[in-house]
Amino acid sequence: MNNRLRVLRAERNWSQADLAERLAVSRQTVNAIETGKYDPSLPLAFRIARLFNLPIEAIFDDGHTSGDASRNGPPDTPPSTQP
Amino acid sequence: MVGSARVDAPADAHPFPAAVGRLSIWFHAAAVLAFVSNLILLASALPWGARFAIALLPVPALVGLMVAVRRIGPRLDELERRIQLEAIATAFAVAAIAFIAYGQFQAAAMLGPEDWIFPWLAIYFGYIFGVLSARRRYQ
Repeated sequence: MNNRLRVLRAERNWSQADLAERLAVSRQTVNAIETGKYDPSLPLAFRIARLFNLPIEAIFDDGHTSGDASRNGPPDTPPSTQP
Repeated sequence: MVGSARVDAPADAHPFPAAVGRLSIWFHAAAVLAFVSNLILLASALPWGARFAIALLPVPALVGLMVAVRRIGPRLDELERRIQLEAIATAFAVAAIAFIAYGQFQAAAMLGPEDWIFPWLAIYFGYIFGVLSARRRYQ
């Protein structure tokens, strides 16, 4: 899974150790997430999103875009019934 | 120490695996007690009750190891927990192979009860190998 953690961290001039301390994880965990070798748990992903004040999908990208609603998701309104 | 921005991380999160050293102490205590127990049982003819008690000598340390794992596991940093789980899985697989091989060699009269150290060493090195390979994978 791709993520923007390194970019977001660099924008704030935080080191990996700084970010690790803020998230209460080890620096190795931050490094493994940044390099894409480890996908964080859902609670940690929420903590990361809360720390950067962004939605999770703005930080993590699993390669599936959600833009094409007609193909991937249910319709917003039920189909109209013609007499 | 860093600035004010901080999220509500678990208060009991354990970022660094220092606590894992306590598991190592219990494991080594069990290994030493097993060694002493085997030495005594092989070297002397004792009554049934004494043999029973001495044979179970490593069990308290193994129970201590189990309790320590239960207590420390949930407090570990989540990547460290993954590494430890993979290491234990590796050690378990190596131990299974080692004990089957040990049993086969005993059946073939090539190893005896006094050679019990080999499966223990397999567990030990299986765990070390598991930790090192998992750390390398996530490095």
